[in-house]
Amino acid sequence: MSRLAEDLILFSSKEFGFVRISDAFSTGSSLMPQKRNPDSLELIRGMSGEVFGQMAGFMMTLKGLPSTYNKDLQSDKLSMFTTYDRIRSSMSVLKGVLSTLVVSEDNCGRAVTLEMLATDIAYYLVRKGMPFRTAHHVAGQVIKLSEEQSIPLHLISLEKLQEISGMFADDFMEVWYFEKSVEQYHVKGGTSKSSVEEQIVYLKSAFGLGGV
Amino acid sequence: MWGGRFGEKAHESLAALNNSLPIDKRLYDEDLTGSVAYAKALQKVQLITVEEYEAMVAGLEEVRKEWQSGAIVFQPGDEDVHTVNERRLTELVGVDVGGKLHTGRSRNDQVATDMRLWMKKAVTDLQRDLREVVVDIICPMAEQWIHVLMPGYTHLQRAQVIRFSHWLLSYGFYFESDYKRLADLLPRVDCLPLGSGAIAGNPFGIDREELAKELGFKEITRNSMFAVGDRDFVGEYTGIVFYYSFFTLPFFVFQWTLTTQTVSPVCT
Repeated sequence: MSRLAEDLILFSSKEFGFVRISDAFSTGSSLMPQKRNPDSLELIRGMSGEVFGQMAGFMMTLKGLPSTYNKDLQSDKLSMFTTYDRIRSSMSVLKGVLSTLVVSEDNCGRAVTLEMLATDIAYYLVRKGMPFRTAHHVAGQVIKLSEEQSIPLHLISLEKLQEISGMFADDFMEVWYFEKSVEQYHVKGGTSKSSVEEQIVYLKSAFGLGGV
Repeated sequence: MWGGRFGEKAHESLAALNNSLPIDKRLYDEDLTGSVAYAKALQKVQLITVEEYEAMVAGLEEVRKEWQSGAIVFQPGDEDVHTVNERRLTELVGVDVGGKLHTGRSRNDQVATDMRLWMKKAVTDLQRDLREVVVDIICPMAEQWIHVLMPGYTHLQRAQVIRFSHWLLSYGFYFESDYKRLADLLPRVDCLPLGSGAIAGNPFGIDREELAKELGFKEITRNSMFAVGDRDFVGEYTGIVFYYSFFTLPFFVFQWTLTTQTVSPVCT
């Protein structure tokens, strides 16, 4: 839960701006008028430290006790109740944060950049028959060329690419479609649309099992 | 309650440290439910008459009502929830009946039973929360935003392009793991310790299998010393809740290491 909180704190910062946490789950600063702090998520992140303390404390109490009942065990209930209360109140806040979260499609889209397709350059060459290790090296040379000559990756001419490897051809421009990049991961568990839909179907049915 | 062999009362500092009532009062309902079932078990082996059993159960239900309405009053000698319930029962039905409830029972098997009853409900509550956040919130959000692409990060650096929903669902699967961990824990909690006495067992022929059925336990514990001493399930439970709450590494000054220059995407 705190890792999700951490991702959301990060993604809601101005530097990322992928998501916006609603006013109801943010707080202001007593000094800086512009501030919108994700306190709700920080509390969730902090809560896990407290839960760890309860767990570690009780494990330490249990360790090395003589057999059967000893009064040391009286602290068991504090650990049991505290962890229950903290996790449930945090979950209740997390549900609120998620239900009111707004996703910025523009900011997510802007953060997706061409160099993230470097792997796809290598996969392009692999599909042409090049061994992956060689393709990885060649893709690295393309990135290097782009950086050294300050040419955006997708504007490097075919001639220049062919100087690096003769396997580059006209169809190489198709590599620069982000949607296409994502859709190639249609393996089970992947990030293509159909794979993601499959995950949703799975999760919707996964919570009836396990016997309660 | 245990003062018979003592010449003087416990020192007030010990009494204060020993008093668990502010915390364990939360188990009042489970404690009363356990006692009602135990009264029935006592009646079945004729340690109490049917009339005594009925008076006992009526008394226990009266105590339950007092807790529910907030009318219950603690006395200076009430060191835990078990004491409150038995003391109040005795006040209501008299010592000749109330004083028989604890026959063959110890607070050792009593509290272990109360805790397991409570935890079974707690596990169900936590599982319900997990089901709700995933099925009612995360899945619909993933459907709503499935067209949005974003960077996937490793080492907090841009790695490969992913769907926003793929990222979001990854937490759905963390929560599903928590759900399964809780389900795995249940069989170890769903075991009845009552009828184990203080350490050696119960000498009055109590039918523990019947008690388990009465209280909704799937199994009974099979060793009385294990029954009163086992708290592994509490350790496991707090461990599972910890995984559920899972921490992350300290927050790096990530903004400074990010690629701040963004190239307008050619196509999305």
